[in-house]
Amino acid sequence: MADEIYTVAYDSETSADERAKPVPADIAIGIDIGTSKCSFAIWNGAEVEVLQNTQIQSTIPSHVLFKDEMPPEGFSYEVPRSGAEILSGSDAFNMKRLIGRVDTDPVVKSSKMLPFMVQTFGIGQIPLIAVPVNNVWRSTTPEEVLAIFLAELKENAEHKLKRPIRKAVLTVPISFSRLQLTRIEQACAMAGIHVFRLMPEPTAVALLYAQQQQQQIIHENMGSGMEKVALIFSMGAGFCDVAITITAGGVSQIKALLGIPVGGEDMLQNIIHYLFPDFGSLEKMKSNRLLRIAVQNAIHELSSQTSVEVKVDLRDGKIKSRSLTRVEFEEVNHKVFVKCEKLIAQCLLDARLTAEDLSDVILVGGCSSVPKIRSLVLSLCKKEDSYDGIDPLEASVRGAATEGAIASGASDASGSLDLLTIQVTTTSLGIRVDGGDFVPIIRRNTSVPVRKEMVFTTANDDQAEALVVVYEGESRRAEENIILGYFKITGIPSGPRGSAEVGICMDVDTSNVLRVYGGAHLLRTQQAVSPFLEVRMPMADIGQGWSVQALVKIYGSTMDLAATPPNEVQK
Amino acid sequence: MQKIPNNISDSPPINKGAFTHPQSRTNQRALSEQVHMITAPDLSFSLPISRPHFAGRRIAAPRLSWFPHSRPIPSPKIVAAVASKAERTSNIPPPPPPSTLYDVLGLSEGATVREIRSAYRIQARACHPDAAASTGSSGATADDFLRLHAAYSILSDPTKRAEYDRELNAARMLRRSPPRVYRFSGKAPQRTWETDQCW
Repeated sequence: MADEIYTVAYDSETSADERAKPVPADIAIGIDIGTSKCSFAIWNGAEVEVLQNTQIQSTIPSHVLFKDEMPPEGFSYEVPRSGAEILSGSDAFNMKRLIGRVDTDPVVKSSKMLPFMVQTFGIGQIPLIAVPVNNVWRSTTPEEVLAIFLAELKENAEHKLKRPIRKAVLTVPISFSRLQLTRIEQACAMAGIHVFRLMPEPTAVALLYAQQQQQQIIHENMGSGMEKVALIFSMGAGFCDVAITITAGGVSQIKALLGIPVGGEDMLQNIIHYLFPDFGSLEKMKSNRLLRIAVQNAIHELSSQTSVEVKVDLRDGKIKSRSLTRVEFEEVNHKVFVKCEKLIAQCLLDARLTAEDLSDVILVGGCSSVPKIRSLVLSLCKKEDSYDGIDPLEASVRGAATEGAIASGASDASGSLDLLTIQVTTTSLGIRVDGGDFVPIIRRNTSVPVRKEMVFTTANDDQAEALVVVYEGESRRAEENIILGYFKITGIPSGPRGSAEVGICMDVDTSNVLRVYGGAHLLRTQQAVSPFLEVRMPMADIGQGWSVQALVKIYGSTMDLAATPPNEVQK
Repeated sequence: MQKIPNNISDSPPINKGAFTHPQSRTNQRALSEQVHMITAPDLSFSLPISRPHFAGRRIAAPRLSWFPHSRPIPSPKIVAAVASKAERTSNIPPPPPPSTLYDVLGLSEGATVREIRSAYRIQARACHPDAAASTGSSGATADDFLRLHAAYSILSDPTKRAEYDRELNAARMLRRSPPRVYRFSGKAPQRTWETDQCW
């Protein structure tokens, strides 16, 4: 049955020009928006090509430089290394850490040390960022800054490819909530990019790995090939992600995904704080910037050296100088490393695998060159060395471009696009019951597409209406999770509490779109009372949790749902 | 029920309490899954069979709800297996939908774990919505993949598979289906007068 649908084409049977031929006109571009660096790539008909910007760089610092002329037309393509560049304007960066977060989020709070203003009120609202332009604070949002950056990226790509770019596959951190993903989509829309797909960063790497395994099998003529289990550890400036994938025959099954917003940025801030505890205030923004760059360079050097001298010319006659050893660096960042270790251990547990099951360990991202990170990942996975077939800095963007080609329907005669990734959900999705408990309907690490249903009951006698509040997260308390939206089910047949049945169905498709369906059943039948509601989530936005509190205040528990005891469900 | 000979060579013993599976890791996994099942009742367990297209029209009253329903019905798996078995033998013209999870994967009931995984991958390439879109094959929908994945998730898990096999066998016993042919004659006990007395 399956054999008729796909055929395997062999390399030897096709000539070179046949292979270069099928390039659909509107192939999606792959974009890796990193916290500190960005890159973009596209399938050129035979392979993935990482594109360069006009300054011939393939990785572009994710900085937007606001210059003193209005409107902001300046755009920094270099980390402003020279003092003149820094003093010519103010840059905003690390937007990926800020996007879609509220100002009570610890990640936003830690961004207070950045050399631009992050305005927070601590009331659960979206933070504004502000940079001085012409000695006036200019306020903007993380989305806007990201959009400016993406628009520039798009323009560069269009210039390079001599055709308009419409669609893109972007890589995102695993720990991003659905609200954050929506914000990324909004930023893309502002830049004129249609998001074709958002894929978790390590799954893009998994795709690349599957492709390499598949090519190897075709070349070596090994038949269907062995199952390969790989752990992918991806750590950049902002996020640390782990994925476990099982690959065979061009199909990669993601077994588990886990990520936290911890990365090189945290290490950098720890070291700045350690070396120069008196720094970090907004008044000294320019020297703060200089300091940042100096410490960043020092950390990079520590990857190959055991000690380094940090020397900063603060341009006001003062020169700060400190030495930093690798041992110090590792001590100061001990907590970061412990978090990484826990992440890997938990991910293995989630996948129900042990280190012995792993065929390969793949380390990608900027932090993969930190010796301590390498050694801790390898020792936890009980491996001598990591997989070396993948460039750690281009892995994500190459994976994204490959996915872009596959999703755009491009085909390749050598079979290198004959791939399938079975993704999983990154967070549990469920509803609030019994006055505040969270009941997951679709659990974390469930293969998508997925559709699951649960039956709930009424919490009160003769309850005609129920409020369905949808959350995502892992906490057992609903309020500790992220609210995605809510809707009301009406027309529940009257009866004593616990007698009515309310069915809630959740559906996640391959594009990661969540739809929630809900409706009441007639008593003791399986027939629906009224047309079921279909709601696409998220419908709420960041910082809208208060409106549910308002609803709860108005209705109290009169509209609560209750979980059906498991034994009743079974019988 | 406990003494129904188990004709599947590599599935764990029926008795949940005493795991004697030789592979310790599989054993561990099975146990951890058991714990998981206790703490979190997973209603999707009966999903593949209660799906309208899959289960056939006989199980329950016609459903007005438009989403596939995994609502409780008495022993859904057993009924479904029996119902479609009956359909198959009574010459109903349209090709019967796959009646067991093994049929969904296109495998025989003695399939090894490796065969199950491999079959899942091959079928996924045909019916996963992403793959179907790029190969342009029509008719493949998310439902096909959901059904495939549900079958796979049960059969690839030793505990769930054993439970499913037991229910499948029990259903056949109830239907007084023709005497079973043991494929693995060496492993299955011969039925004799003495053993029959123990029922």
